[in-house]
Amino acid sequence: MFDTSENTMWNSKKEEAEEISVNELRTMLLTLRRSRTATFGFIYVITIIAIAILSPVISPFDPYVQNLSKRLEPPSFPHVLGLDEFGRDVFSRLINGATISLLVGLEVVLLALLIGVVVGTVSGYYGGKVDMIFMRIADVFLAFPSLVLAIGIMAVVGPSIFNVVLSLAVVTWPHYARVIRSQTITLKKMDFITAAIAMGASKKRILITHIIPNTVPPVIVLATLGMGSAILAEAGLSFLGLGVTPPTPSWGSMIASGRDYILQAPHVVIAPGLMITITVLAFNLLGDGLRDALDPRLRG
Amino acid sequence: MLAYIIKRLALAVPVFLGVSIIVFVLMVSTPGDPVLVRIGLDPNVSPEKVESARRELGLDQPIHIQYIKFLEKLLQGDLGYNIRTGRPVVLDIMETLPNTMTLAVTSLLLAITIGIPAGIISAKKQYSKVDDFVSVGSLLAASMPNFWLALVLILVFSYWLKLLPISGYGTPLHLILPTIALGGALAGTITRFTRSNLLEIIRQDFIRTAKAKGLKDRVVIFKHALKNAYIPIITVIGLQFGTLLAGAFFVEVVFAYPGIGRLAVQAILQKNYPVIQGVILVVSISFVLINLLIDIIYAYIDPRVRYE
Repeated sequence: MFDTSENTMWNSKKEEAEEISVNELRTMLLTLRRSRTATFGFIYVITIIAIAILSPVISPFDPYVQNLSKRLEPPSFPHVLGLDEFGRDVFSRLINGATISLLVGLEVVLLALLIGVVVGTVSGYYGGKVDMIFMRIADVFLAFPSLVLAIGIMAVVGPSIFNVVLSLAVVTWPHYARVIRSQTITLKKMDFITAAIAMGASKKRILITHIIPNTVPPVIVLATLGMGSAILAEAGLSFLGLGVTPPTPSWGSMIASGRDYILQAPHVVIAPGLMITITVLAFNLLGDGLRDALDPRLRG
Repeated sequence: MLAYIIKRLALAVPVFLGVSIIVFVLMVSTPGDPVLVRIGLDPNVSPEKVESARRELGLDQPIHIQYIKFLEKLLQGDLGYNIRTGRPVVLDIMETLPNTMTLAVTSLLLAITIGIPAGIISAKKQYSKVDDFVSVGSLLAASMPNFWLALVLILVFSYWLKLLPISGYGTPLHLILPTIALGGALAGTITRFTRSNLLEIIRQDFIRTAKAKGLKDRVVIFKHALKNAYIPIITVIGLQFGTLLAGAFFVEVVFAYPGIGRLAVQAILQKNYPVIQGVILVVSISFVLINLLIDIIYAYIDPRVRYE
């Protein structure tokens, strides 16, 4: 009897908490619509995700098929962005490269977030020695320029998509952990947490059902901006030959291999660079928009 | 002030140790047996010889002793030897580091001279056409891969317009394109940061007071608002210095500029691990030192920091 009543109470509490963050997300999206730049970012991101998912179907040519007699041919119909140094269709390679870039970005962000959420909430909630140790470790990682450490790790583990994800997650998790930790400290002092403690909820339960769901909105902002930097970093590593290796189409490695032909066939270098720039820009615009939407002072 | 500096230095020691541990871990996990690298891939080599080489390299010691030896050497400025040339890595780095620092400083100056004024104009005219233009432009600059910008700059200014040298170094002309490629993104970041910071400060009471007592706009912005915006801007510049150093790896490769970044990338292609580790260590330590210096500078500018 007592047990069930407590359970329903917990459930209603939980639903309420979920509702709050769902509402928060809805407000975020509504506020987002008011900004032209953020709307552009949102639409672009949705479009590029669709392109990445549908790339095997919508790609007009096979991104791997070479036609050496037509190498470096400038843009014309049906090769709208021309052909590369092996006579492969640049447009098809860009579309297929989107899959790689977005997937790497997403995996980096998810992995870094996973570490960041665990370290950040535990550190912020328990405080004391655990916090001290975790934060000193984070400090050490932050002492490296992150891309330099990623380059160092890639030099040791060797180029592959999996290693790119691993090395970029290793160098970026402290950023997430820091923000989630400070968010946790703020939440910890709020009344609804005190109420949960008074009702006898365990620390683990409070962390999982109350603290973590409430870190979601700021985490979405971070993750969106993080996608942009992860895509940029992957392009950089691939450009140096430390990331995605040929012949897999990746925007960064397309620039690297087209580099020697820039004078004869500028399109081979310009097209993938524009793709990176616009994609990163869109994620940054969306992230900025989401951050403004989250800031009640700016909601007006 | 002195007490603050000492405290700040003491706090940096564990960070330095941590950095050295990570670089050490990277070093011991490099693929390939360092013994074979030392004695060559001779199949007829005697086990005794392998053993003595192992001892010579200190690899028979437990891992923590190896780390302490590594740290001892590091403190004496010994970063090991370049596998290809047999030269001390320190010499390679001392040759290239000044070039990278020159490029980093010119890029930083470019970014500051563009970024701070652009940020001020954008904040003063919030929501205007100018503000929109500056906002999108600065974000665009920050979203662009620097190696790609470098290639486009070469295409336009070196190949098409034939105005500037394609690559190399030595004259100020050689620095122009690499500086733009490396400093562009930072200019965007500084613009954005200056703008958002000023917007926050402009809404505060003391600015309203300054305006209410009839001060001119220019005086309010430069004497009141900007003075308060400097500290966060300086902090961001310090943190962004790491991005600048990392960016040098890419820009130097594109322009064949003989800096520490190109040294590292060449070493990676040659699997020249001692050079890679040396560069990572030196770059990270410079980054920590620069941020330490900035902490001390703003304790000097802002007395509130000292008393915390």
